[in-house]
Parts: sequence; C-alpha cells; structure tokens
Amino acid sequence: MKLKRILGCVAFILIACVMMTVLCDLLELSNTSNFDKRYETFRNLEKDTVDAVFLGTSGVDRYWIAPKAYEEYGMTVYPLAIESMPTWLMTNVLKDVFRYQDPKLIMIDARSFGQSNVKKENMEIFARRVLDSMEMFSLNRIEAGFKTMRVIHETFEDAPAFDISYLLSFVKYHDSWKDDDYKITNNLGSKEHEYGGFYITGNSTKIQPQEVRPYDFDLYTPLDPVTEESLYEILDFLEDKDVEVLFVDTPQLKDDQEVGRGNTLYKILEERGVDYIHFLSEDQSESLHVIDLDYNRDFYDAPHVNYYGAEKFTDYFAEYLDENYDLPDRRADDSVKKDWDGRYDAILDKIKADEKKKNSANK
Amino acid sequence: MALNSLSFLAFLAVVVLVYYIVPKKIQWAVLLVASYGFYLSSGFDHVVYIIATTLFTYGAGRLMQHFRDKQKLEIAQMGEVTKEQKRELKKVVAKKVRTVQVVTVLVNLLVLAVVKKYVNFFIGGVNDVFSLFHWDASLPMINLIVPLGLSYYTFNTIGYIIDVGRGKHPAEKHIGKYALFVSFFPSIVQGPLFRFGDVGMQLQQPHKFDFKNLTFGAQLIMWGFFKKLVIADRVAPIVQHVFSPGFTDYNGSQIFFGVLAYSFQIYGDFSGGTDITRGAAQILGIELPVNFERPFFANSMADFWHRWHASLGAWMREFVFFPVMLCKPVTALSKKVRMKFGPHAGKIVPSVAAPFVVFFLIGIWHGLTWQYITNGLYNAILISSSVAFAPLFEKMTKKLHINTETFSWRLFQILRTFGLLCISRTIVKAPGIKEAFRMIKAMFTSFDPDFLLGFDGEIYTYGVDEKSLWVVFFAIMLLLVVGVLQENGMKIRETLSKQNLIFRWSLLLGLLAVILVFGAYGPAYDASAFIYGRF
Repeated sequence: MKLKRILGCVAFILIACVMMTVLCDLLELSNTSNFDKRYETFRNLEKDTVDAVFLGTSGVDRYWIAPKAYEEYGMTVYPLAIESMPTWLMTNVLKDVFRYQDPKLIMIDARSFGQSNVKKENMEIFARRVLDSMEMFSLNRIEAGFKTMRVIHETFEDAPAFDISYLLSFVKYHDSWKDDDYKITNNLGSKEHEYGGFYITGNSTKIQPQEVRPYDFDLYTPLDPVTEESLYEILDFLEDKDVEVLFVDTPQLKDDQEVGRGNTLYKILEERGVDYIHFLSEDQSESLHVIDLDYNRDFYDAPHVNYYGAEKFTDYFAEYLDENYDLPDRRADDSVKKDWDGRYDAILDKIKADEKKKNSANK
Repeated sequence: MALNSLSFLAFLAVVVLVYYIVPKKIQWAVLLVASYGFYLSSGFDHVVYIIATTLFTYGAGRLMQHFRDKQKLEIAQMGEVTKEQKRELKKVVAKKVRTVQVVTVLVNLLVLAVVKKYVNFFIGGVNDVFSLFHWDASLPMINLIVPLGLSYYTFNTIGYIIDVGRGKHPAEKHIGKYALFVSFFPSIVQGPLFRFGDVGMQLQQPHKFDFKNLTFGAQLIMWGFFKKLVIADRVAPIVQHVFSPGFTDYNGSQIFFGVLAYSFQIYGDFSGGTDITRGAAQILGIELPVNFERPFFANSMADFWHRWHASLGAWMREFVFFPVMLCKPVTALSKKVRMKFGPHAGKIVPSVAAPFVVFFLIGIWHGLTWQYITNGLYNAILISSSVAFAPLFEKMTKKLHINTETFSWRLFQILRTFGLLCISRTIVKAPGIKEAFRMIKAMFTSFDPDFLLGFDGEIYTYGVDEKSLWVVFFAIMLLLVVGVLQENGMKIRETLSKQNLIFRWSLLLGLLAVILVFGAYGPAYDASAFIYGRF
C-alpha cells in the first residue's frame, strides 16, 4: 500500500475519532449537578496550584465552600465530589488527582464507606457519574470501566461480565436526542464550574428542621465487602504517594446502619494510623456537632446541610485545616488568582438572588 | 458473536491483519482457524454438527471421486474397449455415484429435519391423532440445539455433493480446504449460499492486499450497519407491537402499518446482514454472490424472487426447479396435456409443477409451520398463475390500450407486487394462520387513513416515538434513493470513488455519524440478533 494511502486512512480515522468525540460531548446526558464540569474545572486548573483535594460524595460538595476558604485563608482545597461516588472508583479518581496536581493533603469523605451496594441500577448510575466525568480517552478511565464491570458482575450474577458502554459511554447515551428533556444547548458552551466545585442550586437555601438523634459509639456494623476492599486499596495507594490523609465525616443525621459502619471505619483507620475527623461533640453521648449547627435552620434534609450549614461548616473546617495543616496562603499567586478569584462572589450573588426570589414569592 | 457487534469488527480487523501478513500459501488456514474461532464463540456444542457435516460430506465426495477415478483407470487398463463396454462401465459407476449422492443428501436433510425440529411437526400430528381417539399415549418431542447457520452450510454441502456427482468439478482432496468452504465465517450466520466451484475455489487461492477491496468492503459493511441498526432494529418495536396477541384490537391501517414496518425490518435485517457479510469477505479478497437486488423495485412476484435471497433462489433453480421441470413424470404429463389442449397448456404443466415444489420447500426451509407452508403455496400460486395467464394479461393490456413501457405502468407493477408481498408478510408474521387471514381481511375492510397520516398522533404510540419515526422515514427515503440510482445503473461505490476527497469523506463520515447516533444499539436495546440467523 502506498504511503499516501496509509496517510489517507490514518487521517480518515483521526477525523472519525474527532467526530466521535464531538458527538459524545453533544449527546452526553445533561447533568444537573454538573459533575463533569467540576471534574473538568479541576483538570483545567493551573498545574501544582491545589494544595489539598477533598474527595467524596454529596458529603463534600454541599458542605465545603472552597472559594470561601480561599478568600479567607488563601488555601486551595478543591472539592472533587460526585454524588454517591462509588468507593471502588476512588483510587482511579485519585490517580487523576495526582496526574494534574501535586496536593500535600488528601481528604476523603467518610460517608462514602457507609454506602451499601444492594441495587444494581444504583451501582451503575453512581459509577457512570464518575466514569462520564473522567477524561474520555485515558488508560485510567479504561481501567475504571473494567473495574466497574468486574465489581457489578461479581455483586450481581446477572450483570454482564463485559459491557462496552462502560468504556464508551456513547454506546449508552447516543440515543439521548430522543429524550424530551434533552437539549443540545445544555452540552454546548463552557465546561467551567463557576462555583469552584460547591453544589449550588436554586434550592440551596431550603430549610428542613431536623430532630437530634442519639449516636451510639459502641454500635459496629461490617462494611460492605466491596467498600471494605476499596478502603484498603485507597489506603495502600495513598501510603505509596506519601501524602497526608484525613478522613472527614461531615455532619449529618445518620441511621443506625450508617452509625455502625462509621464506627467500623473509624476503627479500621485507627488500626492503620490514619487521621479522621467526625465533628461530634466531646461527650459523645448524643449527636451534637461541635460546629454550632442550628437543627432548625442549617439542614437541607437529614443527610445534608443547606447553604447556611455549609457556611458554618466551611468556617469551622477551614480554621481547623489552617491550624492543623501547612496549607500556604496563595492569594497573591497570579496562577491561582485567575482560577479562584471571584468564585465566592459568584456564590454569594447566586444565594442573594435565590433569597430575593424566595422572599418575593413568600410575600 | 453477532455480525453487527463491535466484537465482530475487532475480530475481523485482527483476521484481516493476520491474513495479509502470513505467506499466501497458508492464507486459507488463517481463514479456517478464524472460521472455527468465530463458530466456537457461539458455543462448543454447535461445532459438533459442523464437524460431522464436514467429515461426512467430504468422505462422500471423496468416495464419488474414487468411483470415477477407478472407472477411468479400469478403462485405461482394459486397453481397447467397445463403446458398449464403456457405456456399461459408466452406467455401473454412475449408479454407485448416484447412490452415494442420494444417501448423502438424504442424511443431510434428515439431520436438518431432526435438528430443526421438523420431525416434531409430525410427532405433534401423531399425538393429535392419539388424543382425537382418546388414546393415552404420546410420542416425545425431539429438542436439540439448533447450531448456528445449520441450513446454510447444509445447503452448501448438498450443492457440493450434487456438483461432484454431476462431475462439474472434482471432489476436494484437502480436508482443511474443504472445511473452510463449509465454515467460512462471514457467511456462516445467514449466507449467502454459494457453490464450491466459485467461492470454494476463491477461498483456496492466494489473495494480495487490494486497497480497493478494503475501502469497498468497509463501505459495504457500513451500509449494512445502516440498514440493520437505523432501519431494521429501529422499526422492530412496531412489528412486535402490532403482531403481538392483542392484534384483534387493531384496524386495517394499524395492521398495514405493522406489515409495512415488518417489510422494512426484514429487508434491513437480512440484506444489512448480507452486506456486512459480503463486505467482510470482500476485504479478504473473496467475492460472495449478491443476495439482494433492490427487491422493493420488483415488478412481479417472479422478479421479486430473483431479487430477494437470490442465492437461495439460484440454489433452488439449479437443484430443484430444473430437475423437477425436466423429471420424467412432469415431462410425460406435459406431453399429454400439450397433445390434448395445445402447446401453451403443455408449457403450463412444468411451469406450475416446479414453482409449487420450490416454494413448498422454501416455505418449510423457513420452518415447518402451516404459516410458512401457506406462504410458500401463496407464492407458488401467484408465480404459476402469472405464467399460466400471461397470454390473457397480454390480451387485456392490449384491449385496454395500456402502454406497458411507461413509468406509470412500472410504478403500478411495483406497487401491486408490494401489495401482494404485504399479504405474504402477514401470513408469515401473524400470531397464527387464522389470525393471519383475519388481519388480511381487516386491511381491506377497516382502513383509517388518519392513523397512517399521523393526524391523531396514535401512530407514535406503537413502540416508536415521533422523533424515531422521522429518523426511520428519512432512512428509508435514503434507501429508496440509493435503490433508484442503482436501478438506473449507477454503481454507487465506483461512482463515489471517483468523487473529490472532501465530498467522499463528508458522505462517509456523515453516514458513520448517522449510524452512531441514530442506530438502535447499546444497553437501551436488546442485542438484536439477525432474523435469518435462526434459519
């Protein structure tokens, strides 16, 4: 075959790949929580400008207002959170973290380990949120896809051992043009997460009063087998990376199973000599958090705080990090400023607008 | 491994790579290993049948060849022999060859009948008789695994045995090369059927890499994917919806909608699969017979059968139609009728007898059910009557001053044939034979044009939403436009290859994008197996 023809074939295949990538992007499901934006914003941050990464589920993105901590302390602690992030994919997310940044501290959301893998559909949905947010063509993503197939297949016999759509999400989403709520415009434009990874919607100031539940520190429930295996994998991975690790159990009202699993996790972490923080009061007799949370104002629902709770949590936790970890003040660093300045104002503006809207609706 | 799967494309890519890298002498061996690898992917049990068929027919072919060779040797050794002696010896050998031929064909057909559960049709009938007389007995049904492509390789090997018996070509000496003829992987799922003298020989020959074969083959595969994924699998829910047991609620237009969908589904499915098969073979330098030649443009039922599953038609013509037409009882009857009622009547006898046998066999080839038998007979009646009444039709068109050389007449013929085909499709696809007749009746008695025109929006509730239906509509339009161009003599791929690069690539990338976006595949769909794969 002549060289010209070979080059022609290569060019055709390359154009087809570019076309496929564009189609993948356009037909991706519109994601209200903007997980992919949060992930892509992280990837686009200037190299070596993030000092800590806070990894996990909704226990992270609804609590940690990273731009506020930056405004007040100059720390760059990015919340790389995806709702119900499966624990088996955390190592892969961490691999991406170290590919783009060189953080000194990794914080892991403890509530991820309270999850149980009892529903195949949920496992698939949660895993796809992560996989869809990762870079489309990367070895890490391929590994994560295969791992997901293995975990789901081992948990549920009827799940296929191989499903190409975990490697090529387009196979699953190519039909989204048929969905009534699909709009091509949702997938056009900037992929920047303008609130610096903080979860914010038109409903972030919703208040749902909660009742204090007793917390039993002697209750132990075994972790889900997949979760336990993942925990050790994460700990081993981070040990190799030689970074500081902190498991963070953000305030929430747990049920008995979550309490039992939380305690089991703390026990394993103590055995491994890994730090953790759970924000429960010192007497440890009941669920009163050391943060001055108002149970009648600061909760969105039982497992999550609302924006007011997030402000309080961030104030407390940023101070804690500032006192206990050596996180530099980067407010004068130009490479950081361009990515972080103005984010907190955007959050405040959004909240003010929402409150105004809510007030006028109440009148 | 389905032909429309990514794994098949990956498999093909590896095979092509190895095929053109290895020395040409052993290319056939690569294909044989690939074919058995492909076959094994469908299950280990399936391989037993194909190996048994290969060994049995190979042995039979060699035996026939042995008789022939021995005869030649004997004649040579006898020195001077009279014509009478020669004829006598040939007669003896021909008898032996014929015996082997008949036994082999019958054994092959018997295996096909047993495995494909045809025998159960008779067992069921016997059991019905038992119950009719209240006898407390029943014969057990035979349920065996139906191996992949059983009918296709059985028919190919029967063709081989008959051809060797007729002396068209010598029996293949090399068991490996013969095994490749039986198992060639792209065509094992759903054909096309082919002859040893043609494809069998191509498979043995060395093939140099040809860029044209690569591009043309890839384009044909892409076109096959378009027909299968964008048309056939996308309309499949409509067919499933209409031909489910709830059909009694539907009026004629709803049933017609289902039949229309089925017509395009079966065409897209079968011809799409054949395109993938032929494209894959073309990349390997093998030219398989054309199986579909735009059947929607057929102007008569006979023309349709030349265009639809043409390789089966050719097989039937060669091994059933002509032998029946020329067999002693038919020619004797034809002679008698000619003498009594004139030459046209004499011609009718073989023209009626042969289609009846052929279509009866085609009917049962699809499955031994009353629906397939009825459909076979329906087609036989239509084709036979068109021959029988040809002079009458000619007189009528002349009397009515119809110009048969016009576009309008041709369009009428095409629509008439399509209408007749819709009836044929209904017979086959209905839940049962009684239901089929009720559905056909409904199409003529309760028609609601509003439904078909989509005025009431009900048409979008048949398993395919409005957006998908528009996609199908435009896909069918594209199919028909390409068909019209081909009918007018355009060789699409040849023409495309002469176009400017930007136009050519835009078209191919556009088609690829259409398949990727609008194709019915992935976890939202069941893995749609090819309909003809089960035959």
